Amino acid sequence: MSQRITYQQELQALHQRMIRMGSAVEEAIHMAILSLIDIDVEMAKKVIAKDDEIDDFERSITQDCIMLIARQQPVAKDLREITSDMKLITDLERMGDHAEDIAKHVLNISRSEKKITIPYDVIQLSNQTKAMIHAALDAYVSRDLEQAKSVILMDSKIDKLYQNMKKYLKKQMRLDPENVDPLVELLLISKHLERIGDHAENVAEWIVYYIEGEYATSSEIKKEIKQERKKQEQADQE
Amino acid sequence: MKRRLALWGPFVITITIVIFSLFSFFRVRDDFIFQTENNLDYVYKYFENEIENSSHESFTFTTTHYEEITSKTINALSDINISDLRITILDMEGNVVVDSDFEPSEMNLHRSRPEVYAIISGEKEASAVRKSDTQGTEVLYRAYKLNEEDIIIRVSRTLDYLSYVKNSLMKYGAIAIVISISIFLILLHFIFKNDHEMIKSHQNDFSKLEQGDLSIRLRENRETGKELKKLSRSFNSAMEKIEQRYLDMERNLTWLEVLVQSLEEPLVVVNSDLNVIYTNRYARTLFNRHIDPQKNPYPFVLLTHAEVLDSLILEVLETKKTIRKEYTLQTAKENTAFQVIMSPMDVDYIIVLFHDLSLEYEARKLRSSFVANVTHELKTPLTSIRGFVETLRTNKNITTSEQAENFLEIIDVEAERLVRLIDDILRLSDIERLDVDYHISDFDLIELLDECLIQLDDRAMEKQISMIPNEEPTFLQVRANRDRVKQVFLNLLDNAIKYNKTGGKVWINIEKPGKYVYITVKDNGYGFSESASKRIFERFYRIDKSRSRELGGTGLGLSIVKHIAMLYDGEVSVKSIPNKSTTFTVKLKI
Repeated sequence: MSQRITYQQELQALHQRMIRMGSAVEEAIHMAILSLIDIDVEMAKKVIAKDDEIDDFERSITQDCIMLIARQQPVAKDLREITSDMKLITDLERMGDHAEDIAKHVLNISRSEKKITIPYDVIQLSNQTKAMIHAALDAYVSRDLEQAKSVILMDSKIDKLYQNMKKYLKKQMRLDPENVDPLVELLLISKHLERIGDHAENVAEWIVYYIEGEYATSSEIKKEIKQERKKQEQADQE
Repeated sequence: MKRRLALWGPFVITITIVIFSLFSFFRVRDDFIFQTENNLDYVYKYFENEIENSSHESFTFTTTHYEEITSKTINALSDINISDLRITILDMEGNVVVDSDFEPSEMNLHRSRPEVYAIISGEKEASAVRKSDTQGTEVLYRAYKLNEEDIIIRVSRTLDYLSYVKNSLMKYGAIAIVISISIFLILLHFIFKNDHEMIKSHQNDFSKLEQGDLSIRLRENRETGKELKKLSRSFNSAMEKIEQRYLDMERNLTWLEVLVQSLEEPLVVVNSDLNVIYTNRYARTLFNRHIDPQKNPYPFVLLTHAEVLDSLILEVLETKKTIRKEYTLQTAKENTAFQVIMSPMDVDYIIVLFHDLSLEYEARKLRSSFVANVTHELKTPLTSIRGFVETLRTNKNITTSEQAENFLEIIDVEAERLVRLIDDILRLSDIERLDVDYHISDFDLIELLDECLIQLDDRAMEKQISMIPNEEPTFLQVRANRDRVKQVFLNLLDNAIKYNKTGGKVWINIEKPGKYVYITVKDNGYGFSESASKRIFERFYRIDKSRSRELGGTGLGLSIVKHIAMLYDGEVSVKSIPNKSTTFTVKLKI
């Protein structure tokens, strides 16, 4: 009996550590975006330092998961939790890497002689990304299926913003060929932001898997949500 | 109870009936044996008689003799319904001499048989009951010592009747047991039926109670047993009290919850594992974490994104002392400065309050910028005064008194400006300090306006500006500090003249439609942009710094107007169209 209690405690501790890692990633992304908006070199350096912390989290949590599986042989929901956690940390760690990359691009921009203004679209894109990872973390903490599904729906908006951004930057490059360097950096930053959104979507998928016990790809989930909405609309009309 | 009775009742009934049957059986057995003994005595008497009768004929008895008598006796007795008799004649050694049923030579020595042995030992008669070796049934044996002769007469009869009695008793006993138990169980069922139903309904009630329904009360009816009634009554009264107390508690808790939730200050409770276990609504909105930590506790760092706060929590847990520190934290909107207050609770929880410092920071900034502005404004005329004084002293080239006069004139103007500035600063701080003005008197506002217009006439004439007061009203009695209202007129009109083009116009309108007096001063001067109009009432704010100073303004005029308006429960507003017009409206409750 006492062994089971410690097992539950270990699972709980794992969950809390996961949230801590998520929090660190959210912070890193936040800081990366701040450094981007103000072209703040100091902040960018902090983000790069923060990535080591996230990598440490990844390593130690993976270790914890493996130990838990080896010693306790979890089944059913517990096993799902541990496996989805193991997938989740990979996504979280990638997000941290993207934040670090953004910071590096910010450093490049700061080094270039030409000064550029950060377009509003980038700020919008980064805010959307931040909102998405924030919502994904909320869904993870409260294990909320609806919230996780809403995160999956948020990704399409990010994709759209990214496409707009790409078009805008292409136009700018044509208009102002001398200023291509920082514009390329901006394009890459947008790509990283878009990728962070994709990883947040993955996180949401794993949360859905943990709750429902069945793995569904995001397109399936989206279809499902659309169907549900249609039904809802029909019901409303009636 | 019922179960126990149902188990033990039949057991007791069975035991009772069995014991009763056994007693009856033994009683019957004793009686029967006694009766049979009597019968056997009778047989013996008969036999003895026969012997005596025959002894008249001969004195010595031979075996044949005995055999004859034996069969004679048996025959005779079977006629009077004493059947299944067996008579055995033995000598004193225990050897069978004659037997009515068996051949004596085939029989073994009977000396060890208890009845025979008793006679050999000297008894006159003896009986024994046992299973016969030869017949296999229970038999009553009775042996006698025949008088005068040294022989033993043993008469025996089977006790078949007894086994019949035994069988009957067993049969009827079993039937009795079955019937009694059935009756007992049926009675038991009827007696407990009501209680059973009651208990069943109580069970339902209790399972509801288990789920948290405190409104349940135990029912009772006419047939409810006394104990059950007593129990359910005391239970009900206890429940009444518990429910009342629970409701009270709930009300208190709800009240507290509402109180904490509607607090316009973020409040968070953290446990010793550094997990958030409670947040109020304001905290959730501020940090945009809409998770219910009572259901899903999460690490504190997820809320604040500041690991340094975790170590502070640990410190508070250890020292049990409140900590206040200032931190800039990431909130939903922007990074905000907070005073974080962490205080320990009785249990191992920490209450964390985040006191928003942004307003205080703003105030601090304003104060320091005010001081900087004042020093700057004071230093500018002083520098120029000192400069000219220096020039007058050292420069020998200035010979003409005209030139010196000119310099002194400038010094005078600058000194004048310094005095004005200090006056304005004092006036402003005087007004700011007041809640209600002093030196209140009744006066005519229109007359006051005329007075001001006359005072400013020279300056207006210089720039050929015409001042056009509205003709209505001609008299407006107000109650206020006259100097203050005059200050408002002078400042507004002075500005209207100062920042006007040559040959411009100034319109003045006074009206009192209700409680408030509206003073409107409009000019067709340079005007200013909208962004400037937002800041125009700030202290030392100047749209065009150099020009304004040239014109001799202190930068405090409109600020003073604003504070006077505020002192009289009013406000001041401005509408300006660049290069066209500017309109100031002052609302005063006078």
